[in-house]
Amino acid sequence: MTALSPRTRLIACLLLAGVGLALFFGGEYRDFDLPLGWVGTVLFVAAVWFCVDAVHRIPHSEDEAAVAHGEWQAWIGVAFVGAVIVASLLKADMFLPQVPIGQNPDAGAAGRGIGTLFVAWLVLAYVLKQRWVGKVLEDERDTRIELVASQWGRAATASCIIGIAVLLGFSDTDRLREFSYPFIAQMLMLALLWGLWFDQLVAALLYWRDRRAAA
Amino acid sequence: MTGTAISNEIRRLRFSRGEMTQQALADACGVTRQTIIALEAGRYAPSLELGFRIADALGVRIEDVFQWSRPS
Repeated sequence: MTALSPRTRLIACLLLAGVGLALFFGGEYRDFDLPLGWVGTVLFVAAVWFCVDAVHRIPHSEDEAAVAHGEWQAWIGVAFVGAVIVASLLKADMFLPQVPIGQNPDAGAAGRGIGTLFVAWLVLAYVLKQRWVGKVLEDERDTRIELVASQWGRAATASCIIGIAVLLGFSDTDRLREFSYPFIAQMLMLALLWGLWFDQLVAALLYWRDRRAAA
Repeated sequence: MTGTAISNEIRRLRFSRGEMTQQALADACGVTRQTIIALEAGRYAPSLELGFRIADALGVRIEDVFQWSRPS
């Protein structure tokens, strides 16, 4: 890897991160006696770490400078929170059994995987912030974009909560028996994640729209 | 974040001050370069304080930098 240029290393690491995410989402296969979901998580986190290292070695380019720090963070948030939502949806059935999450190993494993994604996001966000150290990271325009984005995020969360309330309120008795308390808790968490994802997406789009108009 | 009723002469004034770069003006005003880009493109209306800071950095009065046109 040392012979490769930092840009090539970054692309290779991003591909590895993609493979890790695919394994993470694929989960455990019955045909293999390997914890592929866990291997995928480790591969993803390691690849993200090396991505960060590669990003640090790439000299600041004009293209990169055209993108605000807030926009980088917003797009990364869109990717990571989106991945967490997809993972939560794919593993939602693990929360259906009427047992506490602490006593449900499948739900516990799913929760750990999702937690790992969150930690990887926070680490990546922190390290990217270090790349811009000494520069102005946020000003009044970023604050205004954040305000607009958070309003959209709140509306998205509220509409999702209303959807859950309607679903629970108008479901028949048989359907209601299928919804365990951990599953309802998971749905509420998804509503929060949906709001957060929408917030990040709107912020990223507002930055992108301004940048595109100025180009 | 959309087009604003406030136009400005930032770009022209930057060039008249020895081709001051967007980054140099951003650093002088304590904002990001992307905000200067958005201002020059008319995509962002600054706060009054930022308007004064930009005028100060460019060495002119605020009305020489910003103009407001009544929305039709």
